[in-house]
Amino acid sequence: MNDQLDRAVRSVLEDIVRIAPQPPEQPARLLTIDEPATPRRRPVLAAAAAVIAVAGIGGVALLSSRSDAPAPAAQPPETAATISSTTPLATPPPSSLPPCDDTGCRGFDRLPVTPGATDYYVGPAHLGTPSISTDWFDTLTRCVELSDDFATCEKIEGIAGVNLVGYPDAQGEIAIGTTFTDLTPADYAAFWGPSRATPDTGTRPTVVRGHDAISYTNEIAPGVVWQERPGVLVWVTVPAGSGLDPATVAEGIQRVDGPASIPNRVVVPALSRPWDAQDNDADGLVVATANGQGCVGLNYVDTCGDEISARTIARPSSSGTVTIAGSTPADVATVRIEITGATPIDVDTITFADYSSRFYSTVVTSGAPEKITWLDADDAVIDSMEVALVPVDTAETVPPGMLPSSTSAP
Amino acid sequence: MYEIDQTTTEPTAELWRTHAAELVRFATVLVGPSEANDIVVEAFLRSSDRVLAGSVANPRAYLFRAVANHANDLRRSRERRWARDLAAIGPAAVDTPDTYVDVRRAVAALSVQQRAVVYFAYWDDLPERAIADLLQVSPGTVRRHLVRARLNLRKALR
Repeated sequence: MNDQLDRAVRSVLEDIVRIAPQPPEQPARLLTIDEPATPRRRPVLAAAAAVIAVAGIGGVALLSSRSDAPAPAAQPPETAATISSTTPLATPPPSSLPPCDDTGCRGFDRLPVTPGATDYYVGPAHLGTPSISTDWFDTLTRCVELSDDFATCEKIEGIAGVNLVGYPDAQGEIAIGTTFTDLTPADYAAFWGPSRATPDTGTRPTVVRGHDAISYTNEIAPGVVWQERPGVLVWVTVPAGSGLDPATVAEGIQRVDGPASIPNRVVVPALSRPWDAQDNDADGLVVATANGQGCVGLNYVDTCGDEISARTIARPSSSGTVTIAGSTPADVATVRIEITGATPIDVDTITFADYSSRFYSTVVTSGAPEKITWLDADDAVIDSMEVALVPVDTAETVPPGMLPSSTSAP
Repeated sequence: MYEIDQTTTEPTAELWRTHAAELVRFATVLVGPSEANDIVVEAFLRSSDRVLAGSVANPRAYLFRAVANHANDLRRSRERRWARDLAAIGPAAVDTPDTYVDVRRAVAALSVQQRAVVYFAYWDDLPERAIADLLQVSPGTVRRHLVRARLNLRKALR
């Protein structure tokens, strides 16, 4: 981790924890007058002032989520087999997490990949046994090209900024990254170059393994990046101050077989831009299946289901625009977007691969979207929903005034 | 009209006294100071019976997980307010570098799950495996959240 980032995050956490409220003397919630207290708890005296402090502003809101009924089951862990057995729980804590959230979904179906499409690179044998993080293929990749029969992924994208392979030692880690992207080495080096805390010690062209390469500082570590094969960048970094030459390590890398499948997430090229690799999300519409259920997402998949609300994404950006995108049933020809104080926008849906759903994406540049309506080819209404803008992209914030009054935060 | 539920058993109160402070600190990082107590109280009351019944091997981990789950349950309706509250927290030191303001905003903009793992990784200095044990998720999930958080936080320093 970047030392400066490390310090900054700790400082920020310290600031937050410093103002943590004192917990009340007793755990207590507000009840409505006609709601009986849970009989299995016997009364104890509690200071009224303390309890009122517990209730606070959110106390009333808690009433709506209070339930004495059995709590819904928590989502299963992503990889149950890897869970530690040191802290077994008889039953998961209560939760009503949706199958997908803003960090991804659990239980994606698998999509086979063409042999070689996921191949990555390890270091020369003399470096020893590497630490390999193949789980990045499950969490940070998508398919960008399907085979003609749509059954196999021929090209993937993803895994920027984090290395699949590492050789840790006392001085740090020799990192070997395989990033699946069409970016040029120079563009990648620019995105992942020195942080503000680190002086640029000189980005310059070089040659590695016969390929044009860029020698650069990857955040704080000396590195080199090049295109090893079409659609695949490889980069090598060595610990700062170690005296090692990343280019020397790079010359000895070896190609190894990657996973035979990835999670079934597929970018819809017609409704996306080429991935810029500045983070590990796609740059457009992504369609997926999880446990056989259809899913759709913008940049990443955050919802699954058949209802219009589960198939529609309304994503505000800090620039003041709102991207409306999603999937529809096969009989929806047009999606109408009603906007506060403006003429509605009609967006035609498109087909993609062999999916029965249709897809669309558009950017609303001014005004607040209020309502989404699915229309068939005869303009008959199939379904509609009110728009709720949720800034699920953690890098984005909702600009003031962009939220419809009906979706304002409580 | 509301009244106060004052029906807490002594074992429940003891469990509360043992864990309340650290749970509230954790919740403050997740949701900000104004709702931290509410989140913790509700999660605690939902979970304490099972803990006291002895069916939970690690009560502390279970309660942390309950707080994280309850924050997740509420995040869709309240995430914006939490982010505002967290971003508004001022630095303790007046000479804090300007960069930290950006990082503070970036921390506030992380998802609840990301802030949870960041809290344990940076505040408690726990390794990924220990965080996974505590939150009862796979180490891969912890790594994913940490990487995503790091990628977002890193943007604040560029």
